[in-house]
Amino acid sequence: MMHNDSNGLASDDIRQQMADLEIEDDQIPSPMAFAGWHSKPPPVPKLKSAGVIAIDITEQFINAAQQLDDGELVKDPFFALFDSVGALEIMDPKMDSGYLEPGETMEDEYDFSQPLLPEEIIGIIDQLLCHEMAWHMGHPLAQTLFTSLYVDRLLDPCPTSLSHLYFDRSESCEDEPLTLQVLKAYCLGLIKTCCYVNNRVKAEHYYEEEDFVTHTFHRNLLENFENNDILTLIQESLEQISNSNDILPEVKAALECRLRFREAFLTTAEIAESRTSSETIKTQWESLQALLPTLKSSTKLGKPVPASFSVKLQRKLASTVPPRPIVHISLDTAYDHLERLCRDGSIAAEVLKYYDSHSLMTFVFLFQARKPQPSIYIRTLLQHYLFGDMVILGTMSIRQLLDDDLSSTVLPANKILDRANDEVELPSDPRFKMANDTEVFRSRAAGSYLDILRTICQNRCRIRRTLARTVADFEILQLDSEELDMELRQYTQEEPIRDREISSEPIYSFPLSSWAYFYKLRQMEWLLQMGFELEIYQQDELASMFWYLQYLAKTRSRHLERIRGFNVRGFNESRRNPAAVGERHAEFINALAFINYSSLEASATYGFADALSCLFTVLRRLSLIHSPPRPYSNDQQRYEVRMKPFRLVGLPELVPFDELKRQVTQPGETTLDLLKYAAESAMAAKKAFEVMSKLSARDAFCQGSYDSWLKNIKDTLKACIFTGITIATVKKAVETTAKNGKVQIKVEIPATGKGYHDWWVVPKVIPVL
Amino acid sequence: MEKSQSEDYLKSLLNKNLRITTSDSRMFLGQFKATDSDRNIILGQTFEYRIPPPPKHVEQGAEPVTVDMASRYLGLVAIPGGCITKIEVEEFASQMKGNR
Repeated sequence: MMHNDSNGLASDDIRQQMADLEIEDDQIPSPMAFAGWHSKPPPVPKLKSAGVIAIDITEQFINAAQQLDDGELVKDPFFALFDSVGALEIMDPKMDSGYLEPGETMEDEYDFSQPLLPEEIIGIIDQLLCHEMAWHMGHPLAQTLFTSLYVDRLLDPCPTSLSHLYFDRSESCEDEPLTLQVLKAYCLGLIKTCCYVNNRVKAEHYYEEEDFVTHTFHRNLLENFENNDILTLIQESLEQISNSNDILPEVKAALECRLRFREAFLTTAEIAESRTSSETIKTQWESLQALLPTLKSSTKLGKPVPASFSVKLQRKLASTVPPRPIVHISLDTAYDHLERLCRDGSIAAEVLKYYDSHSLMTFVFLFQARKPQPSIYIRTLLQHYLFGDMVILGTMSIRQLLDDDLSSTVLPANKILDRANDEVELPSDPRFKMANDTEVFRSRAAGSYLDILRTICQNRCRIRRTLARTVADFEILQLDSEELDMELRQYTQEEPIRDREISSEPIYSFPLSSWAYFYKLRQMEWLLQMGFELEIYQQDELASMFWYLQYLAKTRSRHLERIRGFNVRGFNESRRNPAAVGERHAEFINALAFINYSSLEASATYGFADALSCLFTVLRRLSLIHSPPRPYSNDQQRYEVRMKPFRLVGLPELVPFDELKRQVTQPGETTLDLLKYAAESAMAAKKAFEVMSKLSARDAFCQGSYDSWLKNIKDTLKACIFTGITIATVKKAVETTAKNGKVQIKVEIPATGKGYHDWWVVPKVIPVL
Repeated sequence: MEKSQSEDYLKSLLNKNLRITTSDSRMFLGQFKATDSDRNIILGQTFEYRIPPPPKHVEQGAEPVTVDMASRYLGLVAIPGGCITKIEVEEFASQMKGNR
């Protein structure tokens, strides 16, 4: 009724939001169904109070309202109509959570005193496990665990002690049946496990309602109880089961196995938080995983008790949304998820073994690229291992990590990073100034650098979107560092390179801004490549996107050449100095090894991307790739929108559309020449990938994740070989086709997950018979 | 009542606490924010009150027990005019004496 005036406002707002979608949405909290509930509601007013009298004005009100004209509104001037959009409409079954269908009751009539069969306990426990995993997958507690009447009994009202907690409240039941004791111990363990998971996710960067729903609807997940008390209860139940004589042996084993599993899961959740030893965490996850087969095989003994779950419980929760259906996932799905959780959890702990900064980034990148992507709990655990309490991997300072990275790229054995500089207290001493400037740089760069890691820990779509923002950040970082570089070289007395062949100006190394530039280029490449994985690009865009990728990779390769030049010069100087110690040499060798590796990788990337760009251009020319009709935009406009994240970047400059079009379509080249060139590029890339695949973990800077790294390279290599085959097929088809005739092939573009590598979209060419 | 009087009357109620009973015998207590000719009503900071279900076993001759209405905070709500059965306004007893 009251939406009219707000329309203009709303659509403006939406337009704004759309405009911001690409880069700024991260900071703006998205409107969430539960958002209003994170703040505590006002205290409940008393209905009966001596000072307040309620007067019936029904008649007056109705009469007065009838006098109003149609559409006329009486309203509080401070109440904006726009606010009313958020009002809950009472009696609307879709909005009003308190609305009851005729004959429907508010409460469930469930008899908590009824004895349950041991088989029924198994049934309930297995159902609870499904709910727990559904929650891990991103469904709210309200539609999963909180639909269990037994769980509800334990949490509402909030318990004060575990010893007097019973499902059946009708009598003081010291003689609670064994089955219910088992169920209670299991449920308490389950809730406490959830408490750990929820707190972990909440503490890290994640997307509410996109990755996970942390909302507990003002229920306390046994936050105040000690793990040990709950574990003791589980132990006691285990003893009682083994002493009991009236349960069938196999049922007994199934119950014991479930309690043991819960005990292990709870312990895992606690131990996984510690960052002291990756081995302990790994062992814990592995022993949890070892329990799963027994759990699975005894599932068939269970008898479901559907009456002990109710959709109505949601009405009791602090939520304005009406009850939504209970989420049902199959036990198989739940076990699959759980198994993956264990596997990923144990691998994530390996990150705690530190080798070098580049291996660390490779580890995180490849871990996140696992298919399916590790679940949010594991991803937030990984973040916790990486940055918890601002201590890297639980042992290193951020400075250590950053200095490691700088010395293994642009500043090997450089006096700028010398820790002894910190000890100098004389302000006029150049070492004092160097220490000062580097510290300024560190405080500026640390956040940006860690943001790269943090970004890679997000879900796949968010990685791409957030990269758009971190690229912009590195652009500014690069500019800021240039100034520092110029200042620093007064203190380092850096001798520029003078090479008339390159430039008449002296060439300085600009180490800090070089470092920032390197990472900016890396992130720009990743941003484009994530676009392939996420199938962002239309088929007719692929040629341009691969062209852009090779452009960026080539730029990186040239930039690495520059860095290499300075590193080699420094190394030679250092070797001339007999006093130089082995450690300095090792640093140079290490940095050069990294530059070599990254150059190799860049050349493989640009060769492959170039080949694909040419191939797609040819397919376009042969009219084998079609553009969808787009009556409301032209190529240039779409290009500008696509490249929006790069528009802010000064170097490398955004290629103007006309230039790009010419470069991509290459009108001067014949189709056969294009194919010849594509074949050569693919061959060169293939060789580079082959060389890469033979590198050791140390030389490829993937220590700690060699296997996944190798698989990644091999998949890329396969895609590259397949590209060569496709190019040859197209070439043959073009050669055998008479002039102006139609080539006898058709093209299929595989969807993500169907090709050899998601970052390399290789078209499949099929002969038309 | 004249139209202008009606408007004034309704305006005088703005931001007062109204208790609105609906056809499903729930009651909503909140600050009166707006209404229109169909007496659709918007309340802010609203609490929902519901008569709790009758106890399962009532012993004969037992003392009657007072049960508090179950309440729940809802915030901003819009109540369609058609399902309103009763409207009450809360007044401070002290102020009422002065008025009458």
